[in-house]
Amino acid sequence: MRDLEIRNFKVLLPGFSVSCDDLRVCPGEWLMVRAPSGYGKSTLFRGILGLESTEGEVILGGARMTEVPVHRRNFGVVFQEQLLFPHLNALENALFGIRLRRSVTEKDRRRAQDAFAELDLSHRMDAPLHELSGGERQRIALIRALLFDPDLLLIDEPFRGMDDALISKSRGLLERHLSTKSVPVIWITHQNEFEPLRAKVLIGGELNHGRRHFQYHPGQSQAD
Amino acid sequence: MGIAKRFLFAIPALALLAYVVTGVMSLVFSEGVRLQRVGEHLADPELWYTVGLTLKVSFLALFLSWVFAWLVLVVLKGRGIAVFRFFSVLPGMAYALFVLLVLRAVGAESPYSMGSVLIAWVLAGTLYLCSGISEGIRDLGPRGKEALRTLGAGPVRAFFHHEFSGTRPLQGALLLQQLWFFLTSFSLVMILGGGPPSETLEVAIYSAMRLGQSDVSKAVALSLVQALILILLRFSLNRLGSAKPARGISEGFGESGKKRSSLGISVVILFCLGGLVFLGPKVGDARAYLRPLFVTLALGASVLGATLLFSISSYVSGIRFASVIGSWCSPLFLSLALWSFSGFLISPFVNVALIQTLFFAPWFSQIVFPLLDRAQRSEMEAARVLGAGRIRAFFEVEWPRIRGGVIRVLGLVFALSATEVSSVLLFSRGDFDTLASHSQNLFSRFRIEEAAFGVMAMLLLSAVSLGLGERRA
Repeated sequence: MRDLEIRNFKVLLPGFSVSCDDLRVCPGEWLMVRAPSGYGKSTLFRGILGLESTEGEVILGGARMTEVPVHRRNFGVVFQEQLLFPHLNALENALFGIRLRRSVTEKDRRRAQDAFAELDLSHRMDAPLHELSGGERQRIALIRALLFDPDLLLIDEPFRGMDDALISKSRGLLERHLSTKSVPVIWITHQNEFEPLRAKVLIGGELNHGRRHFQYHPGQSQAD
Repeated sequence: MGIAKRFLFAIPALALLAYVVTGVMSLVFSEGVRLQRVGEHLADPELWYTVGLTLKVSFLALFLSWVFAWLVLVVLKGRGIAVFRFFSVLPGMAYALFVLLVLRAVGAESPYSMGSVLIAWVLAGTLYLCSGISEGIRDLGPRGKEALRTLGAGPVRAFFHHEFSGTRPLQGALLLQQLWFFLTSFSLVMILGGGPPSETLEVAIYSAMRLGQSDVSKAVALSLVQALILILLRFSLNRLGSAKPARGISEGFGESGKKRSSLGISVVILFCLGGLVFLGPKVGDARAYLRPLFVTLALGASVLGATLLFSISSYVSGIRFASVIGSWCSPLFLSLALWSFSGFLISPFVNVALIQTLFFAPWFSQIVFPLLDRAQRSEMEAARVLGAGRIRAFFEVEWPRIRGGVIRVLGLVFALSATEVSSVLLFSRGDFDTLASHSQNLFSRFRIEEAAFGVMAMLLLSAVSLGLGERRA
C-alpha cells in the first residue's frame, strides 16, 4: 500500500514560508486542505508537487519524493487554472500524460472516450481548446489527471465553473477511479464543497510574521 | 539550471564576444593605425563633408518617406498594405536596380548621383514605414475611433487623435530604425552614388579600405564618427522601446496578412523568373552565376547554423548582449575590426559567415527571445508535473507556440545573408563571390544587364526562402 507521509514539511519562498503538521494519508483517503484565499494553499500544493524549494519530507510508499525530479513523481494533478495545452485538442490533452510515458494504445483511447462520455463531453473530443468553456476544460483536466494512473492525486479547486449536475458526475468519476486504483488524494479548497467519507483536514491557522502553518484537525473529519 | 551547465552553454556566446572585442582592440592597436593620423583625418574637412552629406540626405529621405507613407496610408486606407511587408525586406541592390532602370528609361542625363540615392531611399523608406505604421493602426483597433466619433470628433480630428497620435511612439521607433538602414546602406549607395565625393560614411569606409590603396587610419577615423552616430541612434531606439520587429517578418500577422504577404512574395518570384528568362540570352554564359549561387547557399546555411548556436547559447546562459552586439555596430566597422584581427588567421569564408551571423543574429534574438520570454511558465510546469523532462516539456509545449516565429525569422536571416554584400567584398578579396558581390562587381563595371541577372537570381533565392518560411510557419 502506498501511504503518503508528510514530515516537517515547509515551503520556502522569499519573505514567507508555508508549513504543515506531520501526517499520514492512506490510499483511498482524502486530505482536504482548507484556508481562506491568499493563505498559501496553492503554495503548499506547489511545494508538494516539487515546483518550489522545500524543507522536510514527502514520502510516498516509502520513497522520498523530495529527492525525485518533478517529472518522475507520477502525481496526477488538476490545477486551478487547468493548464491545458492550446496546440492540442480536447482528447489529445486528456491523453497527454500517457503520451509522455509511453505510446497511446487503443485501450487508452477507449478509456478516455468512456471518461468523456461520462462527463458529457463525447461531442467535444476533437474540439480545439479555444472552443471549450471553462467547465469543459475543468472536466478535461480531471480526465487527464486520472488517465495515466498516478500514485497520488492533487486537486486544486476542480469544480469551479461547473453546475451541480456536473459536479456530481465529476465526483462520481473520481470516486469510481479511486475504488479501482486506490491512491491518496490531496484536495485544495477554500470552501466546504463536499465531505468525502474518509477524509483528513488541514486548516490554515493564524498568520504569524510571514509564517503560515496548516494544522491537522482530526475533529473535522467525518472519518474521525 | 546549475552554474556548470550555464557556463557550458555560455561558451559559444563568450567566444563570440571575445572575438568582437579582440577584433576592435586589434584594429585600434594595429600597425596600420597611427593615432596621430587618425586625429589628422578627424580634423579633415573632407571627412566632415561626408558626415554632413550622409546626415543631410538621410534626414531628407526620412522626412519624405514619412510624408509619403502617410499619404499612401490615407489614400489606401490600409487596403493591400500587407503586400508591402515583403517589399520592405528587399535588399538595397534591388531598389538601386529599379531606380537605375527607371531613370534610364525616362532618359535621365546621369542616373549616378545622390539624387538617385535619395529617390531609392525614399522608395524603400516609404514601403517600410507604411508596412510598420499600418500594423500599429491595426493593433489600435476600431473602437477608439468609434468612441472619438461619438464624442463629436470629425473624420480629420478622429484620424489625428486615433491613428496618428496612437501610433506616435511606434512611428518614432520605425523612423529611427529606417534612419539606421540609411546610415548603413552600402550597395545602394555604391551603385547609385556615383563615387566620391557623393558617398556616404559607410561607402567612404569601404573606399578607404580598397585593395591596393587602403588607408586604415582614415577608415578608423570614419568608423569612429559613424560608430558614435549609430550608438546614439541605438540608445534612442532602446529608449523608445521596440517597434514591431523591424523589416517585417515576425509572428502573428494573422491569416489574411499572411496570405497577402505570400501574394507579394509570389509576385516577386514570378517577376524574377520573368526577368531571368528575359535577361538570360543577354548575359551570355549563365553558368558563371552557378558558383556564386552555391557559395551563397553554403554561406546562408552556415549563417543559419551559427545564428541558432549563438542565439540559443546567449539566451540559455543569460548573456543576451552577445547575440545583439552586431546591432550596435555598423556592418563595415565590424568587418573592418574583425578583418584586422583574423583576416589572415581564419579563412575568408568563415570570417564572412561569422560577421553575417553578428549582423543577423540580432534579428533572430529580437523576434524569438520575446516569444520565449512570453512562455507560459505555468504550462511548462504542468507538463513537467505530468511527466515531461525539461527538454521534452520545451518541445511538447513551448515549441509548437514559437515554431511559426522561429521558422519565419530563419527564412529572413537566410534572405538577409543572401543579399549582404559589404562584408563579402571586404573579406573575400576575390577569393569567392556570392550572387550579391558578383552582381555588385558587375554594377561597378557598368555591366548593368549582367548585374540585373545576378540581382534577379539573388532576389529569387531570398523570396523563395522567405516564402518557405511563411508557408512552414
